[in-house]
Amino acid sequence: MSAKVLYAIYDDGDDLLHAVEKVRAKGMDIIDCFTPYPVHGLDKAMGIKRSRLPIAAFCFAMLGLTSAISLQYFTMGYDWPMVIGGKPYVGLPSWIPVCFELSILFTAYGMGITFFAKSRMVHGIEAELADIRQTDNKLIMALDVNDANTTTELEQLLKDTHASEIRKPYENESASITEEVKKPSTKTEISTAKAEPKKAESKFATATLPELSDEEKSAKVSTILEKLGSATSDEKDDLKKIKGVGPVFEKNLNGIGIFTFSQISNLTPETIKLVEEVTRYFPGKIEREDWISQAKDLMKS
Amino acid sequence: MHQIESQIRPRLIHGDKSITDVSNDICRPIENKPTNAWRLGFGISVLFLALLAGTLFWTTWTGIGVWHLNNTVMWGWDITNFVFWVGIGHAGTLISAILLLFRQKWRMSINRSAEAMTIFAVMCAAVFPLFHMGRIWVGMYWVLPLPNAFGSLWVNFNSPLLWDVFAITTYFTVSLLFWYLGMIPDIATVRDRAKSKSRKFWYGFFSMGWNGSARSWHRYEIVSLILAGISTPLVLSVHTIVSMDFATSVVPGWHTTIFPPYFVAGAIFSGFGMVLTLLVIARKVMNYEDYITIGHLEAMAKVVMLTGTLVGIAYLTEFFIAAYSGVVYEQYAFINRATGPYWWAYATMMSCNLLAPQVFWFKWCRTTPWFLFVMSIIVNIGMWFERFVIIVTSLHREYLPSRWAMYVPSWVEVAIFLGTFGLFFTCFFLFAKYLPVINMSEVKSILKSRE
Repeated sequence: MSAKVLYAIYDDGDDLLHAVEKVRAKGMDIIDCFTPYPVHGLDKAMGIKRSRLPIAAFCFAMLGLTSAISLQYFTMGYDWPMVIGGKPYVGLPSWIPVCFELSILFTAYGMGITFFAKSRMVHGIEAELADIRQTDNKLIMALDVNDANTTTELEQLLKDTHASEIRKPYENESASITEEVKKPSTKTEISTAKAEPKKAESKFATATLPELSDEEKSAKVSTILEKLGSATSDEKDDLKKIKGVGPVFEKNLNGIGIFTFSQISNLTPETIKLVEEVTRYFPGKIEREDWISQAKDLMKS
Repeated sequence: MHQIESQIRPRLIHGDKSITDVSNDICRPIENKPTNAWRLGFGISVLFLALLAGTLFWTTWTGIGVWHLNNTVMWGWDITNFVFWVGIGHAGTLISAILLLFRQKWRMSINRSAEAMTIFAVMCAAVFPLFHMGRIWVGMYWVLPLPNAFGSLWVNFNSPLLWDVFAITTYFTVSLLFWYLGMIPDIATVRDRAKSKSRKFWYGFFSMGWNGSARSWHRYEIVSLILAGISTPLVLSVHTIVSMDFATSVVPGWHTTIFPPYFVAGAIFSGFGMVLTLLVIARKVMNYEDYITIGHLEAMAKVVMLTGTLVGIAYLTEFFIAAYSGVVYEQYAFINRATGPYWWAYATMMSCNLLAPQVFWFKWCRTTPWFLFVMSIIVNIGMWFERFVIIVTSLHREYLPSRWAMYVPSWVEVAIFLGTFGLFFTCFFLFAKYLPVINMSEVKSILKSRE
């Protein structure tokens, strides 16, 4: 079985939650969501089964308790019994504090270790990110869009739920339709689900448009700047004010010499194509989000 | 599911922040060069840390004879400071665990720094019993149940001093885990914003591959809740056990059943005092007034007033029970506290802890930062004197008048105490520079909600 992953990117937790509910109502598969903060109710909306970690906690507590009793019995009652202050060798009431503390200690560390193991977290491991902004300010829904017939409808649904960006795997037929990603066997299993977006993403980001050689690139950049008018970083506008431009894209644009709203307002279908070829990022995005009139509005205000 | 917003209550976070603003604001100290204020503060702290290292070396090299403890007053500034610092440590876990269980959302801007404070305070506390042992190189065998070469003797599990070892180490390690776990998503944020190689590497290393997956968040929230659930009895148990160091002995003035709740209330009182001291300064210096608002300060002032009053009631109850018991030793212990040679310590304790916090009945006092700062210092002075009164005035005139003695600390003891402030603030300054001081991921989730 193969799966294609579509990423819908949101700016707000409530929007994402709505979208997840709607997508699930359509019977689509959500692989996972990535959010910079815990979105209340998202786990239920995604249908994640309640984790059994509390059971593990109880087992660790019992292990701690047993260890504490054994330790105290062994040292005080068996190995070297001593009369201290006329008290019995095995004085259970005065063992309670240590039993309590060790139960807590074992529970806390047992839970911590189980949590890290279940979430495949370990020091130094590289994070598998669908988008660099997912731990900062963007919320991402990763969808399994194997059934290509639903895509237009799906896209409309995502736009209706205020997705700020949609990253499709089928933008360039030759590059990504053959992209195969192992589908997770069960939805609750995090390890496979988490590994996927990474694999998929690294392909998509580079595969949507062919890479250009340096000469081609600089030629195209100079054509772009000729048409748009050049600007320097001193005149820089905050391009992030354009809805759809994030810090990453802003950097890309700055990288090819686009710094101001006026330059963006000068874009034509022809130059948009060139920009897309050079930045190799989200084809169709500029027109879809109508940056040109956005930039014009921003220039006025 | 839109948040239900109350029209009356003010927002928890001011300034109409977006989630991008939160990341930018909280990561600012990490991503920029340290300010001059930071350099100055850090420099002074390191000087005091050096003082601590020097005096501890001197103590170990010469022996604890350099302290002015004597046969009668065998616990002086060392144990006073130990209890003082452990007490301060209690507010962090209280804020993050108990307020989490009560779903108090205002905790979210202050829990990170309060937990950090807990950890550093417990480190300072640990210095005192360790060095009080004198020969610390064999001390390990006295406090831990390790098989040893001194005749297979084991530690005594009936002793509250040993319970203390278990309580404090458990408290320290569990708090550390709780603190670190809470910080992982934020470390990941710093990692993904990082531009320099070393920052990418180190924050990447400690973020343990966190990517904010909904499944991880689901587990994460369960683990947080369980850790909060077990930390709550833990925090209560720790100061209970510390109080048993005294309460299980037969020294008049110590041998009282009221000690556990009274110590816990006192610990929360002094802990919140210290949190106020730090945050009133930090919110100003680091420009976090939109995150740590007057509302937060006011809530903390209310806790200070409540716990201060609880502690005050405990003082009065102790006095009443001593009179009512008919035990002359007990009665003398309390008369001696109030009117004996250390009356000034008792008076300081009473006025700082029972009387001073009563000003928080007035709204102006709860909402004026500079005044809160002054009050927080008063609270901490008062709580230090409470421990001094309990320890020294009870010991210096025990049962036999032939044993009576006075106690004045040596310069080494004073220097060690000052030095622990160096340790505390060195750690705190490093924390403020290299780690997100406010819990970004939690604050992002409450941007739209109200108190």
